[in-house]
Order: sequence, then C-alpha cells, then structure tokens
Amino acid sequence: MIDRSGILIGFVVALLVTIIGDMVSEEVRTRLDRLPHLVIKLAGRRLNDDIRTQFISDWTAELGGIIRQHRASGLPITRFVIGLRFGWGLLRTAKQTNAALSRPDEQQDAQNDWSSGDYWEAVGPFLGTRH
Amino acid sequence: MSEPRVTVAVAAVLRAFLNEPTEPRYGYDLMREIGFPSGKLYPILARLEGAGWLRRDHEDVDPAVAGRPPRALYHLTAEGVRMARYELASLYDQIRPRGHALAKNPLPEGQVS
Repeated sequence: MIDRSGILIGFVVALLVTIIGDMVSEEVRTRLDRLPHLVIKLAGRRLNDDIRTQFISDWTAELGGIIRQHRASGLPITRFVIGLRFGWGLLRTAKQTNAALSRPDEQQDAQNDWSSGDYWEAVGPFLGTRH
Repeated sequence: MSEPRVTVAVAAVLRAFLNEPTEPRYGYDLMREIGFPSGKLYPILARLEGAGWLRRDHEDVDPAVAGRPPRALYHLTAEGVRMARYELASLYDQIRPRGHALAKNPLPEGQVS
C-alpha cells in the first residue's frame, strides 16, 4: 500500500524543485541581459568626460533596441551573445571613437591599445579569458 | 575639423547613407546592412561626425515611457552628401579596371599586349 504522506512529500519536493529551477533560470537570464550593459559602461570609461555620458546613453539605448528586437525570439543565450558582441566591439575601439571626437592634440594618443591592461582586469572575470 | 581618410570601409558606410541621403539611420541598422561589427562601425561614424559629414540626433521618445534612453540617429549633413558623392566617385576612378579605358582605344589587331 502506498504511503499517502510519501506521495505528499514527493509532490511538495517536486513543486519546490520546479519553483527553484524557474527562479534560478530567471536569475541567470537577468544577469546575462545585464552583462552587455556593464561592458558598455566600461567602454564609456575610455571616453573623455565631455562625451562619456552621452555616448554611454546612446550605446545603452542602441543595445536596448537590439535586445528588444531579439527578445521576441525567446532565445536568451542568442540575445546575450549578440548584446555582448555589440558591447565588446565598442569597448575594443572606444579610444578610436574618442579620438575622432577629440581635439587634434588628443588624437595623437589614439592608439588602438585595447590589449593593454585596464579593462581586462574589470572584464576578465566575466569572460574568463584574455583572448 | 579634419577630413576623414576615405578607406574602403568608410566608403561602404557612406554608400549606405547615400542610398537614402535624407533618411536618418540607427547604428544597429547600419551594422546589419553593411555587415560591420560595432567595433568597426562606430569609430567610422565618430570620424564622420567629427569631420562634420554626419550629424547625430536622437529619436523623439519619452525615456520614462520607452524604459530606455532615446536611440541615436545619424544623418548625412549637406556637406556630408557632397563630400560622400565626391569621395565615392574618386574611389571608383581609382579602382576602375584599366580595361574600361582600353575598351575605348582597343589595341591594334594582332597585338597581344
């Protein structure tokens, strides 16, 4: 004879596992959506003060547009990869963007030195690798 | 304001704008149309903006309603249209096959080269 309390406990455990699974999934999805925004903020740190706020706002808005276009697909990993590629490209070339909109004397400093140091330290933990 | 060097990549961006010179363009739409990643497109847009060939405006949305800042829209300026046409024509002249000119003055019969 099946123990009724065993069935009840099994049902509750299954319910809890489902709920916790959904919560973890939602947590991961939300964090994945935020990571490209973080990369854009890092890119903004490579811009001069006078254009930083505007460009972070512009790039964030563009990222929002990109994510919205891909949200309908319901594919969070795809959305994450597209968003991260967008942010990563901006981060890699932010100094060139900055130089193009800076005074001529500042343009001389615009070497594409994206491999040197500062943001790798900040982004590395998220991407796991330098290459 | 210095004139940007018109590389093939810059020319591709200019051509995309010249397809509809009066139409404002989002950065992501240009990325998809031209096939450039953000890291290639946005420095070019900045160079063109710095040269005064492009103007960056913003779409007319209420951030509170949209839940995000307004997206940037890029337009060719009048100077940009003029220079883009000139530079694309110059680039075409540079890369046009010599055979195009030879066709007007073909080699004498029997001469190979």
